[in-house]
Amino acid sequence: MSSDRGKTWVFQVTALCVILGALLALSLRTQRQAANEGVPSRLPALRAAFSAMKQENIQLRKELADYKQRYEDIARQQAAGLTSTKSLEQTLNESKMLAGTVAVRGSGIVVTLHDSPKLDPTETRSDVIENYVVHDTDLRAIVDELFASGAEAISINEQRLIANSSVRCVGPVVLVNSVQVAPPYVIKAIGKQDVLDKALTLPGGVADALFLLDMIEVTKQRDLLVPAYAGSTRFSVAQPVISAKNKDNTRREK
Amino acid sequence: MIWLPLAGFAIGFVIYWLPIKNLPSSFAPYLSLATLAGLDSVFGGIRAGVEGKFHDDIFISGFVMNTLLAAGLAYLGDQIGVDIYLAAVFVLGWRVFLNLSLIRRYWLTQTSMNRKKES
Repeated sequence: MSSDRGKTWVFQVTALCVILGALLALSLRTQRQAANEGVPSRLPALRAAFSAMKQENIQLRKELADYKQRYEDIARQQAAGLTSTKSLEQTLNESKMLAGTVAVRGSGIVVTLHDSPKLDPTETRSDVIENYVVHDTDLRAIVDELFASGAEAISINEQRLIANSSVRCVGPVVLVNSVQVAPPYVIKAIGKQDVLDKALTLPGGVADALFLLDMIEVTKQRDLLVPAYAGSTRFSVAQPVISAKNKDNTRREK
Repeated sequence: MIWLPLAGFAIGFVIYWLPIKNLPSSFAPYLSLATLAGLDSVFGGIRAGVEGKFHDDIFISGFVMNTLLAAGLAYLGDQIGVDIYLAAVFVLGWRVFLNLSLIRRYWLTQTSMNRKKES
């Protein structure tokens, strides 16, 4: 071990050990940095799972629409077979329009909302940028205003608003009926055109700030199609109460 | 004499631990692999040294080539979707342990022989 030949290789090993140490330190540092930035190796798997789920969601929604269509057909066939169906069918149709389970058409207005073009692209302060983008609160305010002004059917990006619809934001996206919608937000409202238009363009109204920043356009349209609600409308907790007598009956049955 | 490589290792470590410039964190897996390849070469060199078969050209070219090849192959594997990374970890790790055990064995026989000489 202590021969002369031993010395030369030890020096060379030492030299490379310096490089190895440097390499190890660099590796450790990069690894720690990667850990701080989150776990990048898990991202592709998550992304794949996410898109698979999204695909499945779309598929299921299609299936639901299909089943609904079939249900409608059967119901219509049955209704046609009955004798005193005319008034029943009319009531049914009105209820459906109110419930939003049928597509409706008529004259109305189209409101388009998008992020403000007046935002300075070099702006980095998030509290300033906030003022130039469309929020779920803007959508809610406009929709409420339209309903209050007599709109009979409203959709946001083809999502029909019904009695238990929600408009909310989760992180950077807006969900309408729990479906993601992206700007530009196109709100279609069927109703009296002039009334709806005035309701939004009113000075000091809900959309005043949006007009100021060029984030909103309102156009009147003769023929609008507002789609039917595409989600599930099953009630699992609520029970209908038709009259006091009826209520007693249902109680007794239980 | 065994302290010399260890000291070199510590020096190298300290040099790079100084905050210089951070590499992008996507390099992390390749760097780890390069480190493993370096570790393999150094232990291989020590083993060759204690066995008296040390050749400086093989040692240094082995260190450089192994390090670059391990990282390069892992990168290629990532690009074409094959985990060559795992193969490299397996082979290099196996060789590190083999070299370590051979070094240990050599030193153990040395010390026992020295003891016999002294007694």
